[in-house]
Amino acid sequence: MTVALARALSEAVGPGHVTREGKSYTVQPGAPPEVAHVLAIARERKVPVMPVGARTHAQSPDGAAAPGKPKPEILLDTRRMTNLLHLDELSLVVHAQAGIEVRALEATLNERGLTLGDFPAETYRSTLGGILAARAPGRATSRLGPIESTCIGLSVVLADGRTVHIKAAPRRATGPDLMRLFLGGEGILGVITAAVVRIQRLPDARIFAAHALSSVDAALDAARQAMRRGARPAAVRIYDGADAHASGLGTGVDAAGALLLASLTGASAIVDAEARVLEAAAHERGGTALGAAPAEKWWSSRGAPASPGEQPHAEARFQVAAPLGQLAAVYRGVRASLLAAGVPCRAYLAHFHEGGGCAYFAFARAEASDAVARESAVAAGGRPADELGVDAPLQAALRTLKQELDPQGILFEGRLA
Amino acid sequence: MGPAVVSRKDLARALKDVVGGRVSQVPADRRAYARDLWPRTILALRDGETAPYPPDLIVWPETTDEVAAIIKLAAQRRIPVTPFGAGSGVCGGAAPTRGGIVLDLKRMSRAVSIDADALEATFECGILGDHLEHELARRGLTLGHFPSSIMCSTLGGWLAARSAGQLSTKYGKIEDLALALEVVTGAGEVCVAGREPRGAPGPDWAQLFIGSEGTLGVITRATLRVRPAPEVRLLRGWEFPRVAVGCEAIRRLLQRGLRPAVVRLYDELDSFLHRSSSKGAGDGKSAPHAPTDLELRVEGAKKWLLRSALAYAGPLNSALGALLPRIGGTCLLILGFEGDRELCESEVRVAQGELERVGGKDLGEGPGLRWFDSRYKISFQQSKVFENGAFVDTMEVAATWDRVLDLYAAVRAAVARNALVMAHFSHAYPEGCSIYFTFVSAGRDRADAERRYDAIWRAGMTATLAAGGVLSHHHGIGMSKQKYLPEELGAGMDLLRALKQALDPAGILNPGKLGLP
Repeated sequence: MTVALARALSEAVGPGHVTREGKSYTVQPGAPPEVAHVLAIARERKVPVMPVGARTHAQSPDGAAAPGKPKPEILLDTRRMTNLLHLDELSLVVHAQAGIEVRALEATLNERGLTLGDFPAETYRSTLGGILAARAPGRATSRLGPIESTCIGLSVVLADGRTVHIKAAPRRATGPDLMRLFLGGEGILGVITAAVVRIQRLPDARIFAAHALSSVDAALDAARQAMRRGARPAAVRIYDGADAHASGLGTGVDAAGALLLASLTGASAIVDAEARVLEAAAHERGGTALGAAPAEKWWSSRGAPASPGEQPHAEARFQVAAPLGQLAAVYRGVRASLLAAGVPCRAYLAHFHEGGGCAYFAFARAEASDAVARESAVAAGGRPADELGVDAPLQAALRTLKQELDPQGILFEGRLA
Repeated sequence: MGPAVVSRKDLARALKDVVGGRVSQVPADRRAYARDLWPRTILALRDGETAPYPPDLIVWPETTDEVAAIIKLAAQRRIPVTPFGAGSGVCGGAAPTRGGIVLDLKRMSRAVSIDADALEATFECGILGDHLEHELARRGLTLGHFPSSIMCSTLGGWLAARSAGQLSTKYGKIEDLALALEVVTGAGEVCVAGREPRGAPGPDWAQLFIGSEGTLGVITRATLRVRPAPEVRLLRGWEFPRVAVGCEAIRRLLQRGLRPAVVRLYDELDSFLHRSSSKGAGDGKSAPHAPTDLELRVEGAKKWLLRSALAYAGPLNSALGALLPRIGGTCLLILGFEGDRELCESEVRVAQGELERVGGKDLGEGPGLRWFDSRYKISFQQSKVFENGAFVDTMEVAATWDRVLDLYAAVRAAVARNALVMAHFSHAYPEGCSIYFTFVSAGRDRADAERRYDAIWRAGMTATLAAGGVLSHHHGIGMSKQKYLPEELGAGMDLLRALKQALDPAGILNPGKLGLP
């Protein structure tokens, strides 16, 4: 059986592109028709398939199956499909295949004075298909929104081998936004093979601002006021005094206070006005301007590669989204409960938009510490980013949808199972 | 899955158990709900016919539970249910083409909660746009959604059709403003879409219900992103020698990160008519009086001239095309910023530089203020054209910038064979723009008018698809464009059918729309 499967897969994608990995095969199709071919083999043999990219998602395929559930036997690795299909510098959109690594795409764009935008560093280690298929929290900026919202066109191969092309358009009123079936769908309804995403020109100006405030609440309130007035910063981050010092950014920040950092981009006259709006908001709340240096330092160290030997998953990284009004309470609640449990943690607040933001916590991984953090976050009105709370009727609708689009159930259900 | 045989009387009785007296099967009500504002049905009405799609019953629910009970009842009996807001749709989307129940949601019009701190507001979906804005304005807030139909359209209608307001370039379309929806599915189940955690695998359900035109669920409540009411509004007119130059100017502004609230570039003919129609507007001197006999004759002659001229639309368009450049036909751009004073003033400075660089001429505040004063009038002028024996409709398409000018030329040429056509570019994005065509035509008689009307749409939609545009930017598909949807969506139609199966297995919700059975 497995020998026959291996042979069929080799015939589909070429002999050099099938490798055995434990009990499963990793298959690298070179083009969308080969994706359809692999899915046909899976249908014929009733073998579960899971599309994978750079495998940076916390839900790695090996851990994705619930105990007792089938593991994917075929890992459909998109990383041979790396063509940049069309770069449209007039519309500022790029059409690329799903397997391209985001940092490779970004490098190509940068050479031409273009960029995807200031998405958080972890975005760039994934494939384009991966960041679109996994609606990973934290891959958002207050200026551009979440990464998947930059997607304006999509190609998907369905379980039965049909291809859906959703053509690129700025907006449309032609029924439901069908791309949203697959963005964040983790490959359960189809395999993303290419996407058209919005890009930016490298900004005319980038300026940095840092303000010392008396508390995390005051810093949050200042950022919030600036955004209410209409400032659209590329990135904002808030540390409490202790974490600011631990991160080497604490000069001028009271240990009991907080540090507000911002990176602002755009046309220079506007960026200057936005910086004044932010400064006024901080000043009104008793803040002190610290100049650009702390924010510059933060920005340049952002996304530095993990030091050799450091296991990316050894440390728990816990993210909670909350409305701006509750964010400070979530922040304090999680910190206090971890401290009470004897778990030291580092934390910051980031990725704000007008309505909400995220709190990030890093602490030594242990089941107990995880549960403590989760419980206190929810109690304070936050929503842990890996929560699976979907409304029951919609969960049932997703079941039917899956049945309709993949009657043999060959696209691996992962966490949905 | 044919409808079970149910008598209207039995159905009315069952509905009365749910909503009490808020059910009607009176002929006058059935006629009133037999259509929306799709211009093609108005051609029939003008001819003295009754509206073509009378429902069997009209129901006015007041709560989500009532909506759920009505839908359950209809699903058991396989009776079509058409959700209905204010009926101002222009594509036939709200016309109950298969009869059955019209679910008028206008009694569900409460502001459920308005949180000025979190900038979120929840409304029931039957609320009229104008009322919604007033509720927000009382608290110093705005949704920023101002379609010209704002006084005759509801929140639910906006969401169902993916509506855009006149300030969408700053605030976004309705799909950008909706955070969460309460929806009753075709099985009568109440669910909340849009509150899924970001990390949960699966669709973004809110974005699947938005634009579903009542075919997947009835949207009963929506939580919206609201914003502080603007401190200032700075409007100006600019003049460009040609459409292409104006488009280039808009593209540059948006791609530099500016977010003007108003971006309206009128093509040569639209600019010409805009200038002539706004002359004397707002001067208070055009007081109405009873028309004299001579005036009535002149009116009659004008009607005749208009109809005769429009019957030869091809030559008329060519003549105008030749004439407009000679009489100094240029393009007008209305550009407006609103919000915080300091930020807006900086945006205006950057915009001014960009517009001058591409050759724009500053016309001052006048044209902008005149547009603002008459911004909702269009929704009330349609009937005048019909009264004159002609017909008018609009076609709003969109594309990325690399295709916008080709799309403009292709649709214009296609429509111009049968109508006088003008356009403006009014919803801009860094990556592209929508084009809003208005066409006016007339037929010798009703059959001829309908034939022309259909030919215009066929030519326009075919040209749109060939030029790489999308069929609609913000009016939706309804009945008028559904013939062309399979070509736009391809295998995407199968996705739509799968969604229908998942959310409305009995197939009762607004059947016969969006290319669905």
